[in-house]
Amino acid sequence: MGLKKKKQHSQPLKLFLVLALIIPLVLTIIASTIGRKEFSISHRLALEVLGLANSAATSTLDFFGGFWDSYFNLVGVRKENIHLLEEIRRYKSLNAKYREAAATNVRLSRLLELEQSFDTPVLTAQIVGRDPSLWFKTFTINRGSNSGIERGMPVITLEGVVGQVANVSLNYSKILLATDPNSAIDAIVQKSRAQGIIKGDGKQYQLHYVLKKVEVSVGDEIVTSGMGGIFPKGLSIGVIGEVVASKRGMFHRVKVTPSVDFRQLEYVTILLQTNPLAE
Amino acid sequence: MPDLLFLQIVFMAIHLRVHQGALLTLIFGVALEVFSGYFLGLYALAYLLVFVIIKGLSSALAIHEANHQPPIVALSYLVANSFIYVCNAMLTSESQGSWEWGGLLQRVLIVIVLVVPVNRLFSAVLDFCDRGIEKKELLFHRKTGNRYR
Repeated sequence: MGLKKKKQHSQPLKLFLVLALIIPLVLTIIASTIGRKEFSISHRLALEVLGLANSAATSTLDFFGGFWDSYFNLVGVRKENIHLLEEIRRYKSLNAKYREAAATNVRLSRLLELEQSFDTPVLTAQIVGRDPSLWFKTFTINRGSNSGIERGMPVITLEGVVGQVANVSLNYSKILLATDPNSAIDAIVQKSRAQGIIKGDGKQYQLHYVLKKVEVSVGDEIVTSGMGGIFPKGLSIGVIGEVVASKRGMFHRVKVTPSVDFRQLEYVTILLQTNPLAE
Repeated sequence: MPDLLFLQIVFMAIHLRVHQGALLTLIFGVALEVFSGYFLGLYALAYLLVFVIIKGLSSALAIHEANHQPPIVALSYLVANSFIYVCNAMLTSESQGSWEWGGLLQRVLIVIVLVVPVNRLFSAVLDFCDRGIEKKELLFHRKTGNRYR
């Protein structure tokens, strides 16, 4: 009986609450569709409060979302890093190869120019072995009698005189460098035209038999004299590095710095001219 | 670059018999002439000289152990190079190469450092070859007509 009464009282209340909510909403809608359609003060206030809350919520969510994205991105970044490093290594290797090819091209072009400047036939050879001892200066090239090389033929580069062919086999030859003590080359001082003999002392040259009355000075260029028929005239041998004026004897003691850097030689040119005095 | 050929010649002088070692020294010396030097026979002669000296010393001194060899090796290396230098100077009458103390001492030092490990390596190789010869003898050993076997 009591429950029935409660039910009877609650039903009009509910109806009243619904109507109290719906009617203002309907009126608000009607008001917003007709008239100036601007926000009222209550709308603006609500927007300010809700906007601030919305902004704070969005910032917080973005912050945590950024962490999550960064974590996943790191995995991708690491893979990309490895891939890029691999590519860099590959390109560095290719770059080194291209630079070597360009340098070889320049070197061989210069050798070709050198070959074309002589009347006698010439041959280019690669150095394949160097003398391991302290007392002899020789190296081995990859051309021999099959290519027309004979003992005594002069060996040069663009920079100047290198030496002479000492021994020959079918496909290889041994070159005696001009810095070897067993080597002797006819030379002339370009400025004063004084003649002498260039002999090696293991590291550089010494110019022998230059009379003391002849003026020679540091920096003078030494070239081949062409005498003896081995080396053509005018090939650069070196530059005078030191003149020792000794009190005794008739000759100067002259040290000559070679024009060729023997440590960096890779290719040499052999002048294929026979010399009856070579033996 | 270490002079491994020189170390090998020292090893052969100490461990091999006279005729075996001398023949091999001569062959190696002649082979080196191909790549180095100007006067044929000079290296072979120098190495044979070293072989003879070390052979003589090994019979009188206890240098069979690798740890005792560094002084002998250093001295013989200097002797060999001095011999080559003197012969070269005598054969090239008018010019003379400069004696290089720096380069020579550097090489002597390298040879001294390497003599012990290289000696052990060569000993291992020699032992391996000897074992192979023994196995071969065992394999091809013919039984004698010994009825009491």
